[in-house]
Amino acid sequence: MKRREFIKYGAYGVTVVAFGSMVTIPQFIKVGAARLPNGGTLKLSMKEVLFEMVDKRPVYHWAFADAMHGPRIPGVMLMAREGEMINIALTNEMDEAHAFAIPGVVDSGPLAAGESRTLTFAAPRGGTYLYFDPLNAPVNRVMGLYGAMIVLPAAGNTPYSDPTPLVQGLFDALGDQGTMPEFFPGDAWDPARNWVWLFAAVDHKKNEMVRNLPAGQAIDPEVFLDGYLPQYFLLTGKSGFFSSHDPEIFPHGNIGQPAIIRTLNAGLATHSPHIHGTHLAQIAVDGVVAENPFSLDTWSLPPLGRVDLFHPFVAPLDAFPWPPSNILEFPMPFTMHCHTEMSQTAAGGNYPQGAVTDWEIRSPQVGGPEASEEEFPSFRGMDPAMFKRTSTAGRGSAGHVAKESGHGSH
Amino acid sequence: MADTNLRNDKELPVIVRDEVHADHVLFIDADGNPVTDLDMFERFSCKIPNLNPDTPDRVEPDLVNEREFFEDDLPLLPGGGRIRIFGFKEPDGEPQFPAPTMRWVEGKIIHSIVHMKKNTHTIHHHGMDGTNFNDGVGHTGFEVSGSYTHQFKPRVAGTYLYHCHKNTVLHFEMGMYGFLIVDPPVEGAPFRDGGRGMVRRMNDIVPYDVEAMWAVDEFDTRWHRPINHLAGLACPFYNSSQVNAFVPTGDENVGLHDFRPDVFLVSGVASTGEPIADRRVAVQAAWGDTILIRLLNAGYTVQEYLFPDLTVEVVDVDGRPLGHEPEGTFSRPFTIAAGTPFRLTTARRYSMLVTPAEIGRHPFKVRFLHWITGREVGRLETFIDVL
Ligand SMILES: [Cu+2]
Ligand SMILES: [Cu+2]
Repeated sequence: MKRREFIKYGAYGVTVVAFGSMVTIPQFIKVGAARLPNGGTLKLSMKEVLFEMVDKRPVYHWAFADAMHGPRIPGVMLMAREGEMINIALTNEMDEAHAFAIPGVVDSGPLAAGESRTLTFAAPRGGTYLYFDPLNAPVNRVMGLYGAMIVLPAAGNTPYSDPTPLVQGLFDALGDQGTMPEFFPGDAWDPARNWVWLFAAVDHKKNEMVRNLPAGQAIDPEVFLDGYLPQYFLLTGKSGFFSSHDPEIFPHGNIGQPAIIRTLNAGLATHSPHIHGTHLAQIAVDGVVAENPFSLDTWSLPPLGRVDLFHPFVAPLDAFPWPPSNILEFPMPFTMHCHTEMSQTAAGGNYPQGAVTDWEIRSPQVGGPEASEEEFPSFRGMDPAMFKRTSTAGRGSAGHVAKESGHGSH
Repeated sequence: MADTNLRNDKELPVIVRDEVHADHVLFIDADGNPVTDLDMFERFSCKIPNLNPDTPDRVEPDLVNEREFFEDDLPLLPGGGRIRIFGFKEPDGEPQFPAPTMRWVEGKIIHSIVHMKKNTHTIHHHGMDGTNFNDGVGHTGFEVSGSYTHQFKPRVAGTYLYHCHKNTVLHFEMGMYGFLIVDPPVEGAPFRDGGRGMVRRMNDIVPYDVEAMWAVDEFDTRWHRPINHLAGLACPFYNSSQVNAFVPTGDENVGLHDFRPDVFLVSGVASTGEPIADRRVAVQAAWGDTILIRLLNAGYTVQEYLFPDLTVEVVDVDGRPLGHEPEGTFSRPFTIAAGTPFRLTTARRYSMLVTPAEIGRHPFKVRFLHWITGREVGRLETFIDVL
């Protein structure tokens, strides 16, 4: 039953399928997100693939493949509004049993090799969910069978169906020039402003061990975990230079354009992600809306952890003066990396080619619309010539010609 | 036909990595030169500018601190054995670990100057939300070859840290970090490490009598053998004709993904297995004193802490006082009850207030949990003595 395939799928980061009617789903992450009408069915299969790491080493993996995008790691991002029906037609194209589950929401139960089954469930309460294959835990998940689901609440101005008083207060303050003009100078939260940082790690030797078993024979999880030592670290399916230059992974916007960053961990390492240039409010942990959404610059993300963070997109609090007089400092990039720095390596070194990305202040202007590519081409702080001209006020006619978006993911 | 029952005989679809195109021009730089995908990749990975630039928008400072790099063997091991350390010291100071505290004052103009004699390093003032130019990160900025003056105006008092951000996985572990404290704008600030001072609690500024500064860390002594600053970077192997330049994979790699701590320390004092009584770490307070504990996970493990008989109040997380307006409006101080373990991962900080009700010895215990297996790999203990 195995087809011989030579198809190559580009690792173009995030792919999204939105369930439900067009009008109820805001543009999410990507203008080209595929949409399924109410009652539409997503075809999702589990299959074997080779997945190229950041140094191009192909590593044996298992992937969810959807009919529109092919195999993806992470699997296609599911997007829905609370209460809408989600239909997923699963097919297990592998030799051993696999499953699809979102803990507390849905569980397909085991599908034998070659078996198909359709799942139907209502989108749960607003929040961030991890879907994965829970069988032979944690092997099937760590082999690549994981993805994210984002649910927007049926009503309200927060990401949640039942926000706590302080989280509700935070979102009510946004764009309210009356109460906190200095700290929330711009817009209310636009539900389109979401980014997803899905952490994972890969020990290619363990994946190879699985590949070398007879087809259909599951590996003993204890054997898989014994000496498990990941050599590659992924952020939403990419690493290093590539995760840092994918605009679907690095958050961007003007001052005063708040955003939500949804962080999840499908792997086996505990991460300690650290963002530069801003603090973030921790608004939900493991699906529980925070009673005390305090701000932090570093947070903890254990295996299967889910932490939602509110990014205020305010002027950097400790910068002086603000804005800098040299407009060439915009767009202004900052890094985000896991501070448990072993995760910044690839193949034992190659810093910083691990779980890292950036975020970017597009322009110092306050509120939307976002500064255009023409006004502020995305050099992302990487234009060596910038440093020669720091005394030059204004962008001038120095010959910066944006040929393309400059994100390197094309 | 091959044995189709073996997985590794199958030909599989491939999810390919993005390409780096040497001939794809992204933009034309100020000098009229084309900048390509490959240029950007190199700029991120290896060919980071080594610069000595002027500080943008420089103004006269209220407070200045200076640091320079050192590499030395310091007697930090249990029993006094020496271990190779990379660190920061004051220009006329002695090498020390952790690096000397930077002590700033809220609302003042700060100049933090870094000098490099040979090699490049950076200082990242962790938690200071400045501009990119002052952020000290090579791959979004530059590395410092001579000296650079970072300029900040810290907005709110709290507990921060500073560290090198070059090949961070190695340089942070080798010892290139220290506390960065921002004191509130009151008389006597900046305060002396360990002594009396004032701290923000919500919208108030409250006094403390004793300050504990606990940077909890581990060494993997294998990493501290005399080692190249660039170990693990792709640079030494770089060949610009080769688009995908990475250090070779396999068993010959330097192994910076493999952290196996064997020495456990608080603020430079290694545990021998006995409770740490060294006065740099263990706290001595009088009955009725209020103690401010600044706790930092400066290691690469998940650290689990326990006060068996003290209930502490967390008043500041990551340099953001809880409940302080405007940036902390939607947060509140919280308590950690006696006997309740709590965890911090790398680089997180809590500032905690406690006024022990009982005279006597109050232990503070740390379990070090491996970042992947979650297994305990070490533990240590120190204490607060209330006399
Ligand atoms: Cu360094
Ligand atoms: Cu840091």
